Amino acid sequence: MATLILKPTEACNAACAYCEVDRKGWRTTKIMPFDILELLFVRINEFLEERQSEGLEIVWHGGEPLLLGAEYFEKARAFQQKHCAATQARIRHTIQTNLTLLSASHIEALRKLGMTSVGTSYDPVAGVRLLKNGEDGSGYNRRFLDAVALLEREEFRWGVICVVTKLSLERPLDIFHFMTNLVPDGGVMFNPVNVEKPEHDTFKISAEEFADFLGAIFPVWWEHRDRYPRVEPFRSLTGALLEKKQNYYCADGGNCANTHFNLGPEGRWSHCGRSADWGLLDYGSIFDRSVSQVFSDAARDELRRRNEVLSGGECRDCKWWSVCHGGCPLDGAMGSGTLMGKTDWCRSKRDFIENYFVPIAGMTPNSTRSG
Amino acid sequence: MKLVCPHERALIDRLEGRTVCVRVDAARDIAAAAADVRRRNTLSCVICESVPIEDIEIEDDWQGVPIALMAPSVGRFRNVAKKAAALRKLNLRIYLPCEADNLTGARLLASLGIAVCIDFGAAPDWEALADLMTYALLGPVPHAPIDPFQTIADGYRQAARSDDWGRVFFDDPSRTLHLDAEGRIALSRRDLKAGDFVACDLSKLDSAEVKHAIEQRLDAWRNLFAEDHFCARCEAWRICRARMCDGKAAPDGCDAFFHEMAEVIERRRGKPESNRPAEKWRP
Amino acid sequence: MANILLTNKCVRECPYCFAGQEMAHSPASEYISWENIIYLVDLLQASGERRVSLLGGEPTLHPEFLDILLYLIERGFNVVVFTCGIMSKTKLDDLKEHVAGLPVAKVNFVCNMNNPEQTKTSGSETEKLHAFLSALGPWTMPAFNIYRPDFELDFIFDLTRRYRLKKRLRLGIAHPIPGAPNESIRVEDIGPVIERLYAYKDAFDRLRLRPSFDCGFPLCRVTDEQLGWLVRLSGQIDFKCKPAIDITPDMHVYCCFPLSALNRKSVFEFDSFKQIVTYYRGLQKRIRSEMAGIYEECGGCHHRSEETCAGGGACQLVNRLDPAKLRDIERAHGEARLSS
Repeated sequence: MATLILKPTEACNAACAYCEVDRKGWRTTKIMPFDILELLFVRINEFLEERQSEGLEIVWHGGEPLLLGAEYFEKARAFQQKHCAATQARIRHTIQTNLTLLSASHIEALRKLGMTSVGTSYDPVAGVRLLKNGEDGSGYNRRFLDAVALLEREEFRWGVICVVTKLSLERPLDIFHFMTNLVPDGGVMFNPVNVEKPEHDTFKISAEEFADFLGAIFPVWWEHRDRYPRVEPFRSLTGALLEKKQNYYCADGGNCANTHFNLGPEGRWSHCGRSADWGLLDYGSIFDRSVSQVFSDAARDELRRRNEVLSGGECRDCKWWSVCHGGCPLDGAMGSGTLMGKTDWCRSKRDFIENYFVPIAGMTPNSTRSG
Repeated sequence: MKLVCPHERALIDRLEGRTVCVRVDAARDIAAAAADVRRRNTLSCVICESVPIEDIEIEDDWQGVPIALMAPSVGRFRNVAKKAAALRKLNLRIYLPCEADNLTGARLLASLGIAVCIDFGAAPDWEALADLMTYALLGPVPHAPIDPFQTIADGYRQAARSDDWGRVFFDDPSRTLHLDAEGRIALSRRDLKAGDFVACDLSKLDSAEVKHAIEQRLDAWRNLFAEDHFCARCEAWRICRARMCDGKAAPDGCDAFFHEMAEVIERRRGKPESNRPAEKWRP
Repeated sequence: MANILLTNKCVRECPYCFAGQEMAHSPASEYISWENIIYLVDLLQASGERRVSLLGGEPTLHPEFLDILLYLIERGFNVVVFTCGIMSKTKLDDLKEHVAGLPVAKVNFVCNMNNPEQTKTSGSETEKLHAFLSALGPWTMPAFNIYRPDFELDFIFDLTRRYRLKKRLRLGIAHPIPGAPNESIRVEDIGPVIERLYAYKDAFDRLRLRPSFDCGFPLCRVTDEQLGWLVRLSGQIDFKCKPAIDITPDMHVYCCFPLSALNRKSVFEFDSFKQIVTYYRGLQKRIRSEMAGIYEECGGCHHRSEETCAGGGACQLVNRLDPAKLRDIERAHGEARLSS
């Protein structure tokens, strides 16, 4: 299934302390105009008509997509109905939002787009999640919790990304229990914070620190893994390493060259949300290029070659290649200067698997060899 | 929605067509209260403040009346023995405060097929409760339900939010509201006793303001997460739902108890439900 | 059937007491708790048992003896209470009030009586015994332990007649307790003991009082004539020795009183009552594999090999085994896996 990261705006109402995306000012940031939004659905229909067995997942992203208001989503739906009448059955919408602006009308609009769940992110650590309106962290928390209450009343499911920063390292189990207590049946994903700027050094963590953070939680999760909702990266690693189930997130699957693309508010195609944020892998304008042309871009051949280069090069002897594939190519590019480089975060995966997962899950030395 | 109200005929008649739990202060009023409710409403149960079980006089006309008996104690078994068969025939649940003798008494009664419920109180003996809980959920032979353990176990969900078990104490505003003699409406018995009403007139029973108050109360647990309260970070929260917390503190040992209870419940899965005798009424 | 010891305390000091060693090593103030009673009842019920015995020491000393008795009956059990019948008036009155309405099949007091002429007995003990028998005679079966070859039974017939006791007399042979001094019958005296018993034949017949044998009587010491009389009067007579399964107030279990020190375990180590019985049957089997019976001729006896007769009590065999051999048996059985 192809995945479109749709960023109709980069504006955001939050001021998360570790956020390094610059283009999030309210007044200066663009909002995707309706002509581009409509053209998008024309392009989508073209793509799906060409590939009769293909499906498309649209991930509404940002910035904060709810800033657009419910009417924007209603408009998107109208465009979809107009231009994708024959193909819309193969279109699935999801959204990634901070939820602090959620209203009943948003929910109605999202429901009409076929959504039954939302993705969000939250960190139960003081001083990290803030709003631009001057409210302190408790204001953010209150809005977030009111929003999830509303979601649940409206029978929406939700899953959450918890960003692990330096401030999180002292209390891994507290955070684990907090998040798994709060999320009823969706998922909790622990991701390391990605910061480069010196002013964010107080949040920065190393690959080893992230591995140890996960390692402090893993024994508790493992002992009662049926009790807790889907907790990542534990559930997918268990599936991949013990149950031979191949179900990867984009950074681990080594396949994003064949699946992902992004559209920004000005109609520029790029590879994904991160590539747009970091100015990497631009695939041209929606006015000039179709989705198929985006997937045929020569830069993607480079990405596809990456698997070959890494598995024959610096990842050749790695036992964990199949659950990592050298990590996110953009992480690799930021760290090594080339898309052919592996991510520095691969150390956290390796350390976690070897120091915690293998001994606790009881994998035997022979069974550690993964394909 | 069930309404808990005092045995005031005028009030009950105003509740026409509702489901009612009526409170009485003495066992001799059980049958009359049930009859008064049933004239125009559906009877959910009679809640009766009682003497010790050994002293209770069982009446014939209690048959067919769901009864929640709030007893201070069980008493000596030799005096209860003669009533055991009669108690078993009733649709009855005996509520007992959490004291050492009552935990033994609860076990005795349940082993004889009489449903019981322990009110934990403010400072329970967790070890003794854990022993009783293990018996309640893992006992090898059929016995009557021992609440709140049974209700907690029934509502426990893996990989999902467990049901709130307050309903066993008539403390779940999604199911039960409390009325005083004047028809003022409260969300719980505690609120009623404190004079904390959400509406001052019976006519507001189905109003938006009451509905909103209920919603707010049902979501009140989220305040613990907003405040990053230690209960929100506790691994036992998913089963206790912070019921032991008064907003500031929880009694020492509650986390270990509820953690153990989660383990017992998970161990219990796969045991045949035929171990339990037929269900009596549930709050 | 399990024997539950409600307490280790007793009101008498019988010279032959089987439980003496057990009581000597246990805390004197130990009473079984309600939680343990319920646990045991559940264990028994789950194994399909419907009978239970209450023992001690003196079980009626338990502060909640009556409540426990009524509870067991309410749980559907038939209860046997091994008692000396000596208790306070208050307790007796309570007992009488609550037992009076019960069917005689539901509770059976096995009242162990000592001959006041032959065993040291105080006047108040005798008075209390008579009060007990007067109040609860119809629910009571007399019992007598033979610990001296010159025993006399006339007092039993007198009490049975006077207080309309159940017409069955439980007779036990006092066996030696391994490692503890108690008055007991030597194996060579068992024949004369049976002879002496037979001498009371007319008294038994007149009263229709049927003797029953506790464990450990050997078949070979009963003549055909004696056996014929016993069977005619009492029906089947048992010459077996089976695990009694005694459970202490602190939830230990062992084969029987005389073997209480051997492979003693916690009840909680077992998953079912059947498992406990199997375990201790296995222990007896190991003992008997070392020594066929209490007499030389037991080894070649077809009654022994056909299991019509156990060859006497296992406790008597244990006294004759080499201590090192006994330790081997205990160790080997201790390592054996529990099976249902």
